[in-house]
Amino acid sequence: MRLRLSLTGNPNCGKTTLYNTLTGEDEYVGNWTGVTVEAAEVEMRTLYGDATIVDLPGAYSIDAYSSEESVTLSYINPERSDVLVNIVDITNLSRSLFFTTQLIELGIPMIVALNKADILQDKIDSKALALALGCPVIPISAQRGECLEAMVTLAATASKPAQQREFPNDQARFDYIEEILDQVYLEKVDRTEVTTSDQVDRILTSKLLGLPIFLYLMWDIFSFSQSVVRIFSTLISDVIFDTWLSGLFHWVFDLIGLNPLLQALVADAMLGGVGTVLSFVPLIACLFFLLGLLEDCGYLSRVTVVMDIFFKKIGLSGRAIIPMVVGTGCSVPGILATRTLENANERKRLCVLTPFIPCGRKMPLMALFSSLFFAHAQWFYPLLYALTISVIFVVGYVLKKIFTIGHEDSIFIMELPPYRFPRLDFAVQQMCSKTLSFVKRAITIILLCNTVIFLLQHYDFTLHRAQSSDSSMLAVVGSLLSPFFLPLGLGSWELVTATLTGFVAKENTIATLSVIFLSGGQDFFQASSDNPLLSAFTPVTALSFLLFQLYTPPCFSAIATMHTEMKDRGWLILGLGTQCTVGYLLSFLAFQLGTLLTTYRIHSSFLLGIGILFGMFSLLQIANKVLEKDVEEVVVRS
Amino acid sequence: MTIQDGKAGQSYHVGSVEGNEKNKTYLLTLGIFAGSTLTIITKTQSTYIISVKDGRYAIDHALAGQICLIPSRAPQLDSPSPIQYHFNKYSDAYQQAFPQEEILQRLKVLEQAQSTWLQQEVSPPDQSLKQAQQLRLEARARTLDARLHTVEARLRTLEAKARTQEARQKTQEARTRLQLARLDAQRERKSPEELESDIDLISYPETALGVCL
Repeated sequence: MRLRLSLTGNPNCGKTTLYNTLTGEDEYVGNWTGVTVEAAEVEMRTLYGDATIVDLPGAYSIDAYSSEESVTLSYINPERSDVLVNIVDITNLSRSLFFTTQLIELGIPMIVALNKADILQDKIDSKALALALGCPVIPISAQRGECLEAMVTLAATASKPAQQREFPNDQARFDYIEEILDQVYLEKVDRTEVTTSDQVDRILTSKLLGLPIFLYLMWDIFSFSQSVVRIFSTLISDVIFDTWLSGLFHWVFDLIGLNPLLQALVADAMLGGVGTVLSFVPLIACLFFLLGLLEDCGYLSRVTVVMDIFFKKIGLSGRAIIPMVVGTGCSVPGILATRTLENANERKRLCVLTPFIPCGRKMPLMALFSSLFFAHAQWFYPLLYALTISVIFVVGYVLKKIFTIGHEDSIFIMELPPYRFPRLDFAVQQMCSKTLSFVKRAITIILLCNTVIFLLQHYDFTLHRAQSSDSSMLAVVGSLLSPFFLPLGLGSWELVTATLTGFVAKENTIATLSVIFLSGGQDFFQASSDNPLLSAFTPVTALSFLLFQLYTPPCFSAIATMHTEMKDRGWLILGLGTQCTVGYLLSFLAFQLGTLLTTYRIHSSFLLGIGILFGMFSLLQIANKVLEKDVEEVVVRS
Repeated sequence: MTIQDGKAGQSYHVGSVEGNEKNKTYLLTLGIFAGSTLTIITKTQSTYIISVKDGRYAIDHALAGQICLIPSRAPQLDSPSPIQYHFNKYSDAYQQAFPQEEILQRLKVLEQAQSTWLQQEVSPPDQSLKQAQQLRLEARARTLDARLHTVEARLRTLEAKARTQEARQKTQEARTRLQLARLDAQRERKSPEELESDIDLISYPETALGVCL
C-alpha cells in the first residue's frame, strides 16, 4: 500500500516550499498567511517504497476557524494520512508547538521537521525537543533543500504514534510548551524588541502613507509591464508569426497544394489568432515577475493592514485585498483565496467583487485598446483603475446593505511575517508557471474557439460556403443578438461575436477580432489607417467594448469556481447577475455619454438600453427576493 | 484597561479576552488568552501591532478593545502616584494664587493698626468717624478671616480627594497583585510531573540521522 505523508503546520511555515522542493511541483507559494487554500498531492519514490506527499493549507489548531483550515482537518485522520510531517517554523516555536501537541493527540505516527533551521539551528537543541515531545525531530531547510531526504526517510519509517499527554485545557498546553522551550532554547532570543522591520512597518502601515505607497507600487508594476508590451509585442506578432511562421507554412502549403480554405484556416484562424494572443506573453511574464517579487518580500500582509480601514466600510476585513491582488493574475485563484475569510457572508460577497479586478487575461485587451485609441491619453489607465476601485466599493456597499442575514463584524488579526529580500529564482518560477498556463490556454481553448469561429464565419446554415461573411452562420446568430448590444454601440454582428467569446476567455476576444478582421500581413499593432480595428471601432465604442469586457463575469472557469466556492446557486445567479448588470450599465453609460458629447445628440438606442437595464434590475430584484426567502427559511429551520 | 489604552513598547499580561467563543478559541491558538504575555510594538489610530509568542500580528481597533490587559510589572508604591502628583501641583498653584501666610500677615498688620487706633485720644466730633473706621477695619478683618477659612477648607477637600484616590489606587494595585497571584497559583496547580519520568527514550532510525548530520 502506498504510504501517505501529510505536510501539516501553521500558516506560512514553509509547507508548500518544502512540497515544491521535495517533489519538483509548482504549487503557489508566497510570504503571507493563507497562500495555500486547497490540498495538493503527488506521488514520489522514497528509499522505503512509493509514497504520496500531501500538501495541506496551514492551520493554527485542530479547531477550524476559516474554511481552508477545514480542508486541513479533513485530511489529518488515520484514514487519509499514514504519517504526519509537522512542519514547525523554528523562529516561532512557542506558537507552532501548540498545534504539534494537538496533532500528537490524534494518535497518528508523526515526525516534526524544524524548518528554517539555517537561521537558528545553533540556538535550538532539537534532541531535547524530541525527548520532550516524544517523537522524532529533524532540522531542515526547505528553501535550501537541506536534510529533506533524511526527513522523508524518517517519515517513511515512523511507525508508532508519539507518546500522548493529556492537558486539562489549552492554557495548560501553552504552559507545558513554555516548560519544554526552557530546555530546548540554548540561547533565548528576545522577539519583543523593536526591529528595523517594525520601523518599516510603522511607515508602510501608517494611515497617511500606507495607501499612497501601495497605489504607487501597483501603478509602477502595471505601467512598466504595459510599456514592455509595446516593445516586444510587435516583434513577436510581426517577426515571429507574420514573417517566419507564416512564410514557413505558406511554403509547406504550396508544396503539398493545400485547399485555399484550409490554408486560410491554418494561417489566419489558427496561426493569426493564436499569434495575436501570444504576442502578449511579454506583458504577462513581466507582470508576474514583478508581482512575484512583491509577494515574496512579505509586503502583502502589510497591505491588508492598510486596506482594513477601507474594507470595513463595505463590511469586509482587510484580508479581502489578498484575493484581489491574487486576482490580478487570474480570477480563479483569486476566488479560491476568499477561503481565508472566516465569515461565510463576507466570503460570498467577496466572490462577487474579486472578478471586477482586471485579471492577467484582460490585460492584453486593455493594452491593445489603450495603445490604439487612447495612446496620447496619460489619464486613461489611472481612470480605469480608479473606476475599478469605485465599482468594487459601490457594489460592495450595495451588497452589504442588501445581505444583512448571516453578517457579523469579523475581527481583523493578521500575522506579519518578517521581511525578506525577494528571491529572483522564485519570481522567475512564478513568471514561468503563469506564462506557461497563458500559452497553454492560447494553444488549446483559444485555438479550438478560433477554428469554430472561422468555420462559422465561412459557412452558412445549409453547410455550404457562404457567399460573403454577412450571410454566414456567425453573422446570422450575431445579428439575432445585436439588439441587446445596440445600446452599447456594439450592434454589428462582428462585435457581438467578439463580445460573446469573451465569456470563454477574455483574451479570446482579441483572437476572435483577429480571425474576423485580419487578413494576411495585417496586425493590430500598426497605427496606420490599414488597421481594421480603427475602422471597426470609434474611441467611444472602443471604451464601451472595453468596459463591458472588464466588468462582466470573467470566463467560464471563473464562474465554475464561483459556483464551488459560494456553494449556493441563488447566490451564484445573483452574483453573476450583478456582474452582468454592472458591466452593461458602465458600457451603456460610456457609449451614450460619449455619443452625446461627441455628436451632441442622444443615440437612437437610448430608450432601448434603459428598457434592457430596467429588465436586468427587475430580474436582480426577483432573484434577491427568492434568495432572501431561502435564507430566512434556513434561519427559521435552524 | 485594554490594548487601546496600552503603551507602545510595553509588555502586559492579558487579563481577559472578550467576544464570541469562536474568536476567543482562535485567539487562544495564537497565544492570546488570560494570563499570557503580550507586547505592544506599534500603536497608530486604527491599527496595533503586537508581539505574542514570537510572532507579530496586526490587529484592528475593535479587537484591541476586546483584549483586557494587566500591567506586566506591578506599579511601585514609593513613587508618587499620578493623583498625588496632580494634587501637589494644583495645591501649589492654589497657594500661589491665595498665599495663606500673606493673608495672615495682612491680618496681623490690621489688628495692630486697630489697637493703635483704639488707644488714640480723639475729639468728640471725630468719634463717629473713629467708629466708622473701626467698623470698616472689623469688616475687612472678617473678610480676610473668611477667605482664610475658605482656603483652608479648599485645601482640606483637596487633601481628602487625594487620599481617596490614593486609596483607590492602592485597592487597584492590590487587586492586580491578587489576579497575578491567582494566575501563578493556577499555573502551579497545573504544572505537569517531571518530564524525564514520563518519556521513554525515542528510537531514531540511525541512518536518517546519519544522513542529516
